[in-house]
Amino acid sequence: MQDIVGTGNRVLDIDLSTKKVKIYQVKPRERRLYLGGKGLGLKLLYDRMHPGLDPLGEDNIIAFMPGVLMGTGAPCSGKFAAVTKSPLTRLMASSSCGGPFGMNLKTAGWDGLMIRGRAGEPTYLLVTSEGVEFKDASGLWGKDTLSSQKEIIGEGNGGLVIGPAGENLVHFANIASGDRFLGRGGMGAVLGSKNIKAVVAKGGDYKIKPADQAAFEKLKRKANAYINNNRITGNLYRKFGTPANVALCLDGEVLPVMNFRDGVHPLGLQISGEETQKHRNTRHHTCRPCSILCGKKGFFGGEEIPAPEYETVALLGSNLGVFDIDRIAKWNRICGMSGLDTISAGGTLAWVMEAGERGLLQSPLTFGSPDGVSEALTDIALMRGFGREMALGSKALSEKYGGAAFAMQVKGLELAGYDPRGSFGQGLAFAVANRGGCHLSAFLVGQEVFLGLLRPYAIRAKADYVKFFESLNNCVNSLQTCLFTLFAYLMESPLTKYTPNSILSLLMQELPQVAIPLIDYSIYRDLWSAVTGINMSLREYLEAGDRITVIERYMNTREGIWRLHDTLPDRLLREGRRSDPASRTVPLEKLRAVYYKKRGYDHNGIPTPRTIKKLGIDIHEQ
Amino acid sequence: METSCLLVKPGRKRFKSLVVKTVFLILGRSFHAASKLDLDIKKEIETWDEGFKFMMKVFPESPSMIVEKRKGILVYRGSKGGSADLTIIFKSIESAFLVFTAQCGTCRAFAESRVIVSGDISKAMSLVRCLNILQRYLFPLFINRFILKRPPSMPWYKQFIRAYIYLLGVPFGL
Amino acid sequence: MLPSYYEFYNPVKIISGEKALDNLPYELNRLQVTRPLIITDKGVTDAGLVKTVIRAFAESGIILGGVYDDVPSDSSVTVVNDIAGVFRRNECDGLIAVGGGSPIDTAKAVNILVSEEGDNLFQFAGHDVLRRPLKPLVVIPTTAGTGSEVTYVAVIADPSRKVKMSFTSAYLYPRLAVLDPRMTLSIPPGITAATGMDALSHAMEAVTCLQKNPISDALAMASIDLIGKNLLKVVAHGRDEEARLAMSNAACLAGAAFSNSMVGLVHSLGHAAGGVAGVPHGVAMSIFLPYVFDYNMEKTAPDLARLLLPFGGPEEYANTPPAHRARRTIELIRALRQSLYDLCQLPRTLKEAEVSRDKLEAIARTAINDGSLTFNPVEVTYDDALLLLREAYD
Repeated sequence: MQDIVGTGNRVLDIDLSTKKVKIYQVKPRERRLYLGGKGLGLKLLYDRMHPGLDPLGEDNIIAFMPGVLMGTGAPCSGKFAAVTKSPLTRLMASSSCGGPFGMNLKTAGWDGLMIRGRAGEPTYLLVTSEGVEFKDASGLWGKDTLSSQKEIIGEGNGGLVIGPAGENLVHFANIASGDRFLGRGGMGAVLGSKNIKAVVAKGGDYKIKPADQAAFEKLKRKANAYINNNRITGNLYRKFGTPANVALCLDGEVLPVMNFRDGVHPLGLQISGEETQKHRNTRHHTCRPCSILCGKKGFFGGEEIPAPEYETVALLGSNLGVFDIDRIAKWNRICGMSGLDTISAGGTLAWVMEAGERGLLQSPLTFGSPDGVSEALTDIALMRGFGREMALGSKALSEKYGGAAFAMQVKGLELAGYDPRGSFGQGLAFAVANRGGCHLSAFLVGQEVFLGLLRPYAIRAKADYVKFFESLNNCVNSLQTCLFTLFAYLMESPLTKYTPNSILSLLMQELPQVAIPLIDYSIYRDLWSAVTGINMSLREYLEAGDRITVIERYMNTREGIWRLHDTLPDRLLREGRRSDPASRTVPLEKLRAVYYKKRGYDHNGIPTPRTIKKLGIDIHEQ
Repeated sequence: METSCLLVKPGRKRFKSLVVKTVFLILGRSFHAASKLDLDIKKEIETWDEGFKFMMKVFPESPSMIVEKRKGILVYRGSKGGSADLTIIFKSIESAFLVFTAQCGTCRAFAESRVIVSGDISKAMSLVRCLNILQRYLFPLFINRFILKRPPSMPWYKQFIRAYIYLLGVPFGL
Repeated sequence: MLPSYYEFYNPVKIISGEKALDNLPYELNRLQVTRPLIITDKGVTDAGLVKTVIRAFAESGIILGGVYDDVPSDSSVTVVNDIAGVFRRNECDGLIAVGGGSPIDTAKAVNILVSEEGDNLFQFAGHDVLRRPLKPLVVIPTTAGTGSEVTYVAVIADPSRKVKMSFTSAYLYPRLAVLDPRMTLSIPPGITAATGMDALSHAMEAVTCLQKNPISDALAMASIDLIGKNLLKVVAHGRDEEARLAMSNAACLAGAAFSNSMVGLVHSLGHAAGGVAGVPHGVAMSIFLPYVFDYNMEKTAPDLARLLLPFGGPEEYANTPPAHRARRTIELIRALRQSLYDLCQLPRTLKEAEVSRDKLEAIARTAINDGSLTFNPVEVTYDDALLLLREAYD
């Protein structure tokens, strides 16, 4: 076994069309400016892809990027990122996943894997420390993610597989690694379009060592202590998993009910994490390594299967008007086995239900009824009948049948399970998120609803926090570690922990310019420096996060994205909810204008030349 | 019995016409100052011919303001001077008063036909853009939000131009 | 909502319906015209429409002062001077314009020359330059789109100086507009569709732009109602007299509405696309409508929502929740464009209209100098216009 100290900086670059394999050496400047994981992946694609290319064509590249923490044993570092151009949004998409593939890729000595071109026949790739082998996958074609993984991934290896949905180019097909997924943006279809059924990584040849072992150990202890002490990571999520959000969302009236018509439902608590834990005997089933332990499995309908995450519970549950956790778990299993993103699938089905109700199309699906949902999910995965149209997502459907006002998507990506009419900051985050209706670019529901630090209906300061968290989340995703550590690392740092909540929230809401610089996110920077040995000021570290946001934005603007696309469905902008007597809607225009200014974009949301230059992003001649 | 029906001479509106005259003076001088310093206005007037003259006036004849392009910048030519290439006419002193006291935005004034343009419309559009930038200098943002559809952006360095206009441009015609 | 101030003027008498044309001699007599000059173009003559007009004068005792049928599609100063000469030589005392936008604009310009007794058209260019009432002008539109029969604008090209002169004056209103279904029966589907979308854009912009007022709103709403019900019908079945007459009425209503409420960004872009890339006006209107409405949505959502009632019909309106109506209106416009594309390949994008991508910058630059931009509810800069054009490109 060999050691890698810090980062290996070798990225495997595979062209399927020619079967040529190259090794790209990451330059020190790229490492410093784009950190790793998601950020580095975007930069690699930025240098190699031209605007307007077909996401399902040969030219598209998909990059799998384990971060710098991967393999070091840092808490919650079992995550890796994938970056590509999404068939669903036709924009850049990034996704992160806690499956075993990342660790194996990293310990095979690779800091990244880029796949381009198209294989002639169904193929799977075996990545080892030596390079890559192209293997025949015709026998695997058509098989679900579970049995394919069983068949080709040997003990101790890690794999990525697509299900039938990916093979059939469903626009929101995902990629499985174990029971975790690269969920959003239709990455499964990108692999499917390349005729790649699976990528298996055989790791273990390298050991990853931090550059500064002593500092690293100290940080690890501190991080673990933060995670264990924190109410959310050390208790709520650890006990109940992410479905613990259900109760929190009900309190804040942001649970999507029946295609975002309402924010609460009397049966809501039936699908909460607490209930599920009590009645379905859930136990840990998590990413590795992890200190939060939010992933669960349990007995649903008599069978022990992975428990649905919050987003699945919300989108395939309350958003369809179904409050039966067994059915939701079963649908989650169908999605998982066939390789469908549960958020987009749920959003699309909810749209179909409402469109059927309004007479825009004929459909057997109705709100509140589980009938036909399993069949619809299978139809989507297999591109059968109306499934062929549903497979393109709610935006495409609404363009054909009408009903864009209640197609709950942004830029083509279906919204995650938080109603921004109860969390204005999240509304802004959804509208401007680079990959579309994404809750992970900046999770303001956290501050506005879960922690109560920001007033959910205030406009003030929201743009500041969306900007700050977008950048910080990019830093986290480039390390890469779990975004949930944010709860622990930010809230448990001494200044935050020992300031009374009332003062903290007053300061945060009223004086963001003072509050934000006081937020202590140094632990992320310290982890980065300890592992890579590259010293960096906090300011420079966060600026890297800015850079990652802006380069992704810039790539999207080259695809034609501007202010007109940074919007929310009319339902959120113009329609109040029954549960809200004040009939509040998201005041997006005001929020967005301020956000653009803070980000250094012009009034149309295009990064100004000044901003691009300031961040050191190279401009390619087109 | 014969009714006595005499000629009636309406009085004058001294206060309002004084206000409008003053604003014309301020506008004229600040046009001059801004055209020297503001790059957006410079870019706009680049397309105008040398010697291009525009006039703003209140129906029927006065008060008025004439500005001419000379050597690449705009020069305030006072209130007398006959014809111009482009004339913007307020239909009444009341309309001019509404606009100049920021009770009514320029775009609304056009929409309500309080103002008419005679001359080349595309030049008028260019002039309106300059006027918008100028208003951004002359009025604070909260007023601009009310009178302009979308106030032009005002980076920090433009505060110097604003100061110049207020301290030197308007009082001394520099 | 009532505007704090508005103006409305429209003095045109309209006669519409079956055999409307045959009442023309009576109307001319009322206007004291004894020797009218007919101004038209070759297309109209070839379609036999001029013959129908002349037939209407049988037994009337009115002698026609001539038929000038050589108006080109882009009318110029030379033609206007030419016709003014004919008018004077033949001692005519009134004008009858038969045709689409071009013969009507030409007739208006001729009227300026012969009434003001000048010979240099240029001196009358601009707004409110005319100082006296003109000679009686009767307009018989043969397309259902421009609404020029009820507007006070004429645009004439001056090829020697490469500019388009525009004349606006309350005196330019025709005295009479004759809407006779026979005059529009033979228009081919492609032009029917484009002109119909032109009328729709007039009406819809009249309701959504800044100079809107209750009277123009009422006219525009009535127009949209007729277009919603009849446009697809006339494109599919050109000989449907009732639907044809409905479209003529719609165009006329829309014309009366927009000449008092003005139009906005759809027209700025349309004029520019026409000027720079030669996109026919109606086609450009059809292309830009939904994109511009998306752009203007932030300010015009309530107005767009109101449009759903006449455009989609009461059932559609009632079935759509209030918050969704504005979006639904745009969707129905898109659906209509799609149907027209299926019926007669009416372009939906600039690419389909064969505009090359490198012209977008020039179109944007021209568009922001178009006067109609003043009346658009949302500010439009060069950058905005360019992004919007890219949006509408493919």
